[in-house]
Amino acid sequence: MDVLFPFGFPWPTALYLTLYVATLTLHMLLMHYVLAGSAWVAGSSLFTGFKSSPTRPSKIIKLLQDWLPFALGGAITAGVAPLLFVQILYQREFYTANLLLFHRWMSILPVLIVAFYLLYLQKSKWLEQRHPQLRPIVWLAIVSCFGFVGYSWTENHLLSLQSQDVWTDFFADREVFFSTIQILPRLSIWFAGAFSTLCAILAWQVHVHRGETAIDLREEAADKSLAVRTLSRVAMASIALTLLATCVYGTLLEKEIVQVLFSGLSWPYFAFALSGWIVQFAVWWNLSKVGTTSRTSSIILTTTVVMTAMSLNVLREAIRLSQVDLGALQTQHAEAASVGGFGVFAFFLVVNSLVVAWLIRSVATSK
Amino acid sequence: MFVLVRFLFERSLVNAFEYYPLHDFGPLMKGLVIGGLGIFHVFLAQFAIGGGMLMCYFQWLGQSGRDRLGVMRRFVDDYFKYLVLISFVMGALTGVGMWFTSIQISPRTIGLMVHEFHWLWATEWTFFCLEVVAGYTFFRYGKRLPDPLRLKLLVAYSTAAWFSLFWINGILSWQLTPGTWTESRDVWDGFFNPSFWPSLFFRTIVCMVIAALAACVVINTMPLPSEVRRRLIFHASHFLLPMVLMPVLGVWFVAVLPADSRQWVLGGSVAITLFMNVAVGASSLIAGYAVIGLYWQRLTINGATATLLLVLAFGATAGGEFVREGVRKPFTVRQTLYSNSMTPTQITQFRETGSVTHDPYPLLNADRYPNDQVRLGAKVFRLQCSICHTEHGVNGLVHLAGTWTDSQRRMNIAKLQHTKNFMPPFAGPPAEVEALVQWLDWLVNHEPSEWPVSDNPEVRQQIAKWLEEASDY
Ligand code: HEM
Repeated sequence: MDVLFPFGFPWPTALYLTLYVATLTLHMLLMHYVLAGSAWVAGSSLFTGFKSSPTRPSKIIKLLQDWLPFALGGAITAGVAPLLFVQILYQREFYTANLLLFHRWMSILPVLIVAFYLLYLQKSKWLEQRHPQLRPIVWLAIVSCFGFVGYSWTENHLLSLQSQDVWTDFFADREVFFSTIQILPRLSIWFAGAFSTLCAILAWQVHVHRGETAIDLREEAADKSLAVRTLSRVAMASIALTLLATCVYGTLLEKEIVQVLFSGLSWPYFAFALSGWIVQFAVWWNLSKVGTTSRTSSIILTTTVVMTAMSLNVLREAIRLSQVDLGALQTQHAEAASVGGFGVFAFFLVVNSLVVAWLIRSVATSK
Repeated sequence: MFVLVRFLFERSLVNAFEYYPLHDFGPLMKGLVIGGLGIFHVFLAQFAIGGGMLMCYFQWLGQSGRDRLGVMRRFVDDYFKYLVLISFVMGALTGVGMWFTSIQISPRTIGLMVHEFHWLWATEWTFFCLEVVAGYTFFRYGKRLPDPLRLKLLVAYSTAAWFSLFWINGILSWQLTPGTWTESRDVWDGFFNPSFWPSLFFRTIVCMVIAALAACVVINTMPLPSEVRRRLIFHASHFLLPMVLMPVLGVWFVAVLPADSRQWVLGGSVAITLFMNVAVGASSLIAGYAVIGLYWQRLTINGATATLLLVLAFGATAGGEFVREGVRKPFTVRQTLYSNSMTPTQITQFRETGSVTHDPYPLLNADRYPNDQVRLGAKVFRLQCSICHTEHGVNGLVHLAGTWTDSQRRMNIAKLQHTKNFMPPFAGPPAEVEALVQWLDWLVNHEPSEWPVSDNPEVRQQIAKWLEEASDY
């Protein structure tokens, strides 16, 4: 495994890996918005919600309350594609982990349904008219739901990487939770990293958002500056904490796995991720000084956030590839690739992406 | 050439027989679990698809000068809210739920489906993305957009939603009537299979019906003058009219079914015929009310009646889905994979090697059983029978075979596909048949702590003979 990911693999494996990483990155970006966004509002509502006099929500909070339901819909839809490709890439491993976790695994669905409806509830007039202290409780429930779902995906992933003996024991002992020391640092990487993605997306939203009322317009400039400074602080803390969590996680990995991470397969991605974080940190540092975002800063942030997320997903895959029986899997991938239909997928991927872009443009430019 | 393709395909499946940790759902039959969620999901998804089409129609009425009362825009906006709250949330998540449940119930079946159709599923995903973007954009900005752009968004939304039906319909109908795919293994032969078109047209009409009935419920929740309400309901009833085509499509669908499946619908299986009648009966009631009452006589409909009709439509969907699942038996993919996810070649192989010899997952409650033979029987039950049977619950073996004598059980299990052609052939050597018989007998006798081992060579020989006689699969 010394050739750069995914070039050293036979083309079917390389193709499925590429599609998996690309679509998982899309899922991750939206999931980050949901996870960090709901945690942010929950945290802020804990501070403000229990105060006797209600305070005006900040620009960031307003944006998050407004956009979280869509982001969740997007995260779930985006999750469908990697869910499909993971079944081609690692069918036995993924199915076995799902089956072993059984009720625990299936429970992520009702939990997500509850969270989805709570996100709509927090936008409703009904909740506005209730006791203000209900709001932080609703947000805590929402963030707990997403935390549980994220935890479950990590647990399922780590369980899928175990040996047949571990699976057999897990089944025989009727275990419900798969506990390993790796779960917490791994989850911390996702959770801490989620905030820097969120801040980059919010930077765009703050940049283009216009107040709709006269009061909004007057307070616009002051609000924006405050928002940018807050985003900068949070993003820089997020990058530092993600790096810390990554180091802790690295110390828990076996030596062979660390060797793979620094092999020709993945070290360039390590470098990409690291340089992505450094550039983001520098941009946020600058924004914290000037207190306003620009198109250029947002483009740099978006590009580096995508680059870092993609690179982390490749590293995540490198760890998995070092633990599975690649020979057997490659045969299965070759068989799967012999089935027709790729052309239709590629065609509609392009056509539907163009239609999406055209619709968004039409709405954005409509008076 | 075809024989070679088939041989290679079967070989790859034999080599790939994966043992998974299978769970016991207690008194609940596994098929019912997936069926229950499936019906719910299908109903919501069809609402989303039909809802999109209905809103296009109302938006078009509104902007083409046919909206004398000026209410269409408002109705579309109100209706869309329900669509987002119900189908974007529950529809999307029950969809993911279908995937997860399929893995829990029958991992090898969903594995084969993913293997064969992943590019079409990936194509469907591109339509999901379009659907979500168009839908949410309309939801957020629709109110302030000009009419032509609203219509564009709605057309994009409903086209994407309908195409998701198009793709999944090909995959589901392939399970029932794979057609020439069984020879060629060509993805398009499988996709455009004999029941593809009747099923697609039928489902499209069902989508329109559900959307129209849901619209009648929504219209009744809006504070509108009765004249406006009557007008909206009249327009919604147009979406119920295609129901008159349902009998023709139904006959077309039944005509393309394989002969054995057709015979079950037409009385061969009481349960399937009964569910078929529920679906037909409920649909006829809705169609009668819609065509004669709502369209012809231009009656209005109140919220309670509209809800009742919607519940009837749910009943019809449930009946239809049950029939679709039921007539596939004993296969999950006709002529390829039996209900217990084994191929004919795997069955032949397991008759030699034993079906659970290499199963790495132990019984969860091994101490419950009195000896190894009964334990083996319990493992065979788990692998081969538990997808459709329970011990004492729904379709419980103790109820079904409790009164049989031991030799009756031996013959009926060894010749399983002849005992009832719903069932797959038995996939194991005589020792596994006997173990299953002993396990069953032990259960019927209230699970005593002591149980003798049955090892009579003559009995084994007789079972081997019966298995031999039942090797026509
Ligand atoms: C807001 C809810 C969700 C959260 C917070 C979430 C979080 C996560 C996290 C943290 C991971 C990485 C696990 C790891 O590598 O340690 C992950 C992976 C993944 N998620 Fe999500 N997820 C959510 C919803 C979904 C949904 C609904 C789907 C499917 C439609 C999905 C599909 C996936 C897939 C396929 C993976 C990769 C699994 C693997 O490779 O083992 N996610 N998710």
